[in-house]
Amino acid sequence: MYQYDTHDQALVDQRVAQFRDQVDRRLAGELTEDQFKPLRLMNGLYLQLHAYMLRVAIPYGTLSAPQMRVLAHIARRYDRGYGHFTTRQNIQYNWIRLADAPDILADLATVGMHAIQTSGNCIRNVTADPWAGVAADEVEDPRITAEILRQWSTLHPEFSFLPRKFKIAVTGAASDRAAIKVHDIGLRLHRAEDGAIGYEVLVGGGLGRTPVIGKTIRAFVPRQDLLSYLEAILRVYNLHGRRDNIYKARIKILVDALGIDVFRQQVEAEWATVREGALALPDDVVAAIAAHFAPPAHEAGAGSVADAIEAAPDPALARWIRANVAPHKVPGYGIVNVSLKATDQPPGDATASQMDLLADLADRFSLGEIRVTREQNLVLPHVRLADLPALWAALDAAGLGTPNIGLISDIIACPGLDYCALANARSIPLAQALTRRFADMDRAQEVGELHVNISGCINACAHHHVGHIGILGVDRRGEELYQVTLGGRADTDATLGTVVGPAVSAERAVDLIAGFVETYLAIRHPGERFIDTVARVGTAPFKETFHAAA
Amino acid sequence: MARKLAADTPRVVTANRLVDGVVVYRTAGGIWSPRLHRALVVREQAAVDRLLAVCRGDVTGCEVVDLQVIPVQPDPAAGPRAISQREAIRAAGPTIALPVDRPVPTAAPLF
Amino acid sequence: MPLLEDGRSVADPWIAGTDGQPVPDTGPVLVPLERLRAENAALTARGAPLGVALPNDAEVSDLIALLDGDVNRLDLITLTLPAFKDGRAYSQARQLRETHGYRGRLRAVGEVLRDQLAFLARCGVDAVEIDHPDAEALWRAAVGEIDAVYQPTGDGRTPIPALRRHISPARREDAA
Ligand code: SF4
Repeated sequence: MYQYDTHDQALVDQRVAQFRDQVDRRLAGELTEDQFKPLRLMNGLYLQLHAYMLRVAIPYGTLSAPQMRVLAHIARRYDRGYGHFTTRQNIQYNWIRLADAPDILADLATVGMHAIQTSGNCIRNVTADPWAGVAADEVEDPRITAEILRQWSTLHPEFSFLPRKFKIAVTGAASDRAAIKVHDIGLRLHRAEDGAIGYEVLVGGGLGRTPVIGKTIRAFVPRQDLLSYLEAILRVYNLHGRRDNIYKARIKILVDALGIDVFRQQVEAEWATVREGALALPDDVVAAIAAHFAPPAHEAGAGSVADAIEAAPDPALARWIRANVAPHKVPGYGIVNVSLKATDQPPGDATASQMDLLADLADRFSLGEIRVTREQNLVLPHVRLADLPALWAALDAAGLGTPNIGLISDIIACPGLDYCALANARSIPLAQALTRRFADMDRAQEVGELHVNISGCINACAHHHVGHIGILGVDRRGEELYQVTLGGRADTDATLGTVVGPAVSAERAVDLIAGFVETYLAIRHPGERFIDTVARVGTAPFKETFHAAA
Repeated sequence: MARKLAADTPRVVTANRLVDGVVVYRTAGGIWSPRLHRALVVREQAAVDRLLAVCRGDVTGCEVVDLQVIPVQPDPAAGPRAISQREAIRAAGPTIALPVDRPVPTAAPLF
Repeated sequence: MPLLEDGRSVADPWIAGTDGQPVPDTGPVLVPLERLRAENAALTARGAPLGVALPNDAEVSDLIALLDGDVNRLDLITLTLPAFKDGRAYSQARQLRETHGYRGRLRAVGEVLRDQLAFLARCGVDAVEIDHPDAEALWRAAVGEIDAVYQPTGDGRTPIPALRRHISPARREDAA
């Protein structure tokens, strides 16, 4: 894992001091709210419905056990004993006092963490494949790239006042688990014919009001040119992105207005001016960062996840391994996904005690590492298959053993109107109702992979456009209603879902989804996932469900 | 969503406390209370404007931020109640049971 | 409004050559971009320092073309920050300094706030108009607040990745 050196630490410590001074000036009345708001937003501090919300960056979703303990400490000391893991691989605290924020940042800095650029119109925390470094299908650990980008983008003097926020995702694997096609910039690591590592660069993807699948702007950018190429893209966007209308300010709108070819020409012209400059990445700099992500010392082992299922003494354990444990690139190990989607649990929430336990379990069973996923779950990436029974027992006793990863009750939901000042409708109660309806885990496994995503407004924090079943909360004359889409996906074949039928009440939405599942079970071909069936037959048979339920 | 309110709609002034973000309402006594039912209800636009002018002083004075006027359901006995779902949630908190930080069993010793 | 150059408070010798007014024969004159376009030859023939106010939606390349490729015919360029959130001037500044080698004064005007100064300086801005009773102290405090930087820009500061390369492997060990 990346360890801060004295330089990284100095920057974060100074940033804490700077923010402490800004908060002091605000509380003393030297700054008005209009002046202070952009400053607090640059440190991830929002004013929500009930209190301030602090979003803490978890770079590319990787945490060490000591970092997780500090997250638990913050939940306990400054909040109400829990936190919320987000689809951006970050954590949010919902009940923060402005006056405490500098102390919280100081506590975070002790373990090399911060809230820099978790909001505001800047380059946001870079996200990556949560199985980075352990997945079998990987060209290279994407966290090497993500860390290079973290450093380059942190307090970037030119790109801190962009037209709008800017999100970058990186994958190093053939199968995309970082949703790179729905980010402002998506990077896919791959090798050129001569074996050199570089990037396919996608641009202009994004969700929100105008969902767009990103387009390839360059099929291969050599590694040493990555930063100069991105700087060129950002500069064209900073100069030409719209600033007159917040809904048209994302880079996707600029790319769409110019067309990808003209946009590409502008980027290439700008790139020509910076490519030979100081941003070129020397091999030794990359190597020094890569050294931080060198694979840890795994013990020699044997066996596969399938063997572990076979050997499980308890059917409940076998069921959990089947749903939650993925193959690791090293024999004898597995990638353990920890579900934060127990029945009735607000999706992505974890209590301080659960966080502490996970830190202990990471130390004991996962070489001290934890990951946060886009699906709002956690991962213990390096678990010996032989340890699965003991790990499962400990997780299960703490309410963390739900065997539903990727299944219908593994619902992705934003905080919605229960917390969020921008919301139109609540997300969490609907998610909870669905987890109760689909609480039978054996049946959920029979239904198979099915992603349900619920956003409380068009900002799409829960990525509903790319949920197999997407749900968007809307406000119709004071009534909370939910619009349903089908057929979205965020993977390698990213697709936007199609709206089916008019918006419905929360109760109707639960019935409808149950109806969709019935329809799917009735018409699926052997081995076909829900999303494959929708791709094969379209939405028409499901629309009938809609009418039947009416 | 801000909608045009009828001229004599009963309204209260709400804000968030600067120091901790807590939702507060302006009372008849001129203080900021976290309880909506204590809020001063005003109806005429002129009265609303006068109240807002006073409250703006507390924005300048860094006591509160994000002043808003919201329509309410008056009730002389129990005090005003929120009309919109959003304001009901601001007044009463999330509609869900919040996670409770119960102790969890620590992992069994390895040996 | 107080004017700072390199962090020091100075008097502003520049005369605004606004449209319609005749340009004086001597002394430094600051004209809008459009006036440079219209009176390019006459302004150049003056033989006295010339400055241009570059609007923040203007293309830097357009200005360079007007100057026949020689941006150093100018002694002053002003960049506009119409609002805290509008960051176009930062890119214009780096294009002028780093792409086109501009060596004259680069002044930020408009809504310049303390919390922008460090970023502006990093992008090559060396003069600001800022409304503050002790502007010099403000500049010092703001620009020095964070002295570790990751990005190479034209300001000459050594970014962290370069600092790391110059420490020996042994030092790197104990830094880690
Ligand atoms: S999708 Fe809307 S309601 Fe949900 S967290 Fe995002 S902004 Fe808030």
